[in-house]
Amino acid sequence: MTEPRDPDAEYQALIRAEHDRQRRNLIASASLATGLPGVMLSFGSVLAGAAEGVWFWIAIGCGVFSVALLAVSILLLGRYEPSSDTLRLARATPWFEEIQRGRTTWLLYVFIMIFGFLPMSMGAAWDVVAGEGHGFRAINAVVCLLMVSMPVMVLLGRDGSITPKMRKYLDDEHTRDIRKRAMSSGFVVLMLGATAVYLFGLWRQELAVVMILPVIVLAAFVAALRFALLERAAERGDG
Amino acid sequence: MMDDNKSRGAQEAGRRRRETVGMASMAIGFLLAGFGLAAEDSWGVATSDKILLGAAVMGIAGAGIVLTTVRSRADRERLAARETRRDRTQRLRRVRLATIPFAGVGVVVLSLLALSRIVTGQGDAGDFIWAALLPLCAWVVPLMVLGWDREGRRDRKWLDDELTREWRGRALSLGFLVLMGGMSGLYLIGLYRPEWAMLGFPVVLAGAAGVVGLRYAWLDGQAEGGDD
Repeated sequence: MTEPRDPDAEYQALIRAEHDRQRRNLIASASLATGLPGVMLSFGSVLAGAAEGVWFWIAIGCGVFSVALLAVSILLLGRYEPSSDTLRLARATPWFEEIQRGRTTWLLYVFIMIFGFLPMSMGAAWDVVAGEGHGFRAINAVVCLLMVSMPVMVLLGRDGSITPKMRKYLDDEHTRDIRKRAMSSGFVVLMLGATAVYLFGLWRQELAVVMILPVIVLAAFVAALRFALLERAAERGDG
Repeated sequence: MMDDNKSRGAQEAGRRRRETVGMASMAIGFLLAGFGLAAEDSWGVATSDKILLGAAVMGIAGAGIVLTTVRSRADRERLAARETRRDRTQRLRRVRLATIPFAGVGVVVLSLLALSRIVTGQGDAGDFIWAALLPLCAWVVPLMVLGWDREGRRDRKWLDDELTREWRGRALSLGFLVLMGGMSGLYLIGLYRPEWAMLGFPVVLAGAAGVVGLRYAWLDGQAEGGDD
């Protein structure tokens, strides 16, 4: 007696396996992109004699870590390369689902870039508030703010990349619902952060102005994260 | 029966109109009179007694009109019998959410006065207490909209349904945008003048909270109007 075949369950399992593959592939690419410059910078600085004392050992440690990252990335890249299932699924998946998935992924990964730029912007803001920022330094302080507006626009569904035809599929009831839930949690985080910054500002106003930036970025990140989690839960059918 | 309902509807509409007119004239009259007195007192601007008296009379007349709109006991009982526990709880919440933001304006003004002394370095303990009190005030409305206050938790059975969840999401989304825009503005101003950013904080915090409450009350009221 064999189990009756369930094409839908098989398809779902195939999709899940494909998504796992894509994620691992992404991790592998990211560790390759981190490991290569890591090896070059750390061993390069040791060879050039630029690292002395504690920094020598820190550079050696970073180099060893980068080599490990490279090894992992090469192993993973070989294992999780696209298979014949990838093409089959890509043909079977509706185009707007792919776009929706891509947008949600972008919504999360763009924050790697924003968090990377955050220290630069905060440092620039500190200089500007102290009255020493001129020209380019002042622009640096605003860069992070402009960057954060991108995921917020995508979260709202108000970015220019949605054509009217796409809107029909991307702006359905469900998306609107989880968008609202995501922004509600973003509001709570932002309000908490704003309160904290305000109370802090009673004591040190210049520092409080600089602290506004991480609060905004964090609130946008929490909203985006909630959106992605709800979207994923719905994809797996337990939303 | 039909006729009875219609006449009661007309009566109710008239009552509502009188309430609006009375409230408006009371507020405008007393505000004018108070402002005239304050202008005379603090800036030495001479205000004629006729204006003051006229404004006061206008305010008192408005208060009189408002008094005529108070429902009789029979009316109140009939009204209470018509609406369910859920309707009553939600209506009370709506009224509170619509009024608390306006009550917060006074606290914002007081904390602005205190802040203006703090940022120039002349603030005393009382100023710090006033300034620190503001977030408490600003949090009341969002907590009520989120349903995290004591009453909201107790009456969750009545307050939490599909529609209110929808209103809550919409109101908080708008609040998120307003707060985001406000904080970005404060940051940009703060780069130029940190003390101006500090002065803007109470307005942004209370403003975003007020927008959340008013939006919720507005959406809920719109839905209520659809029932009749």
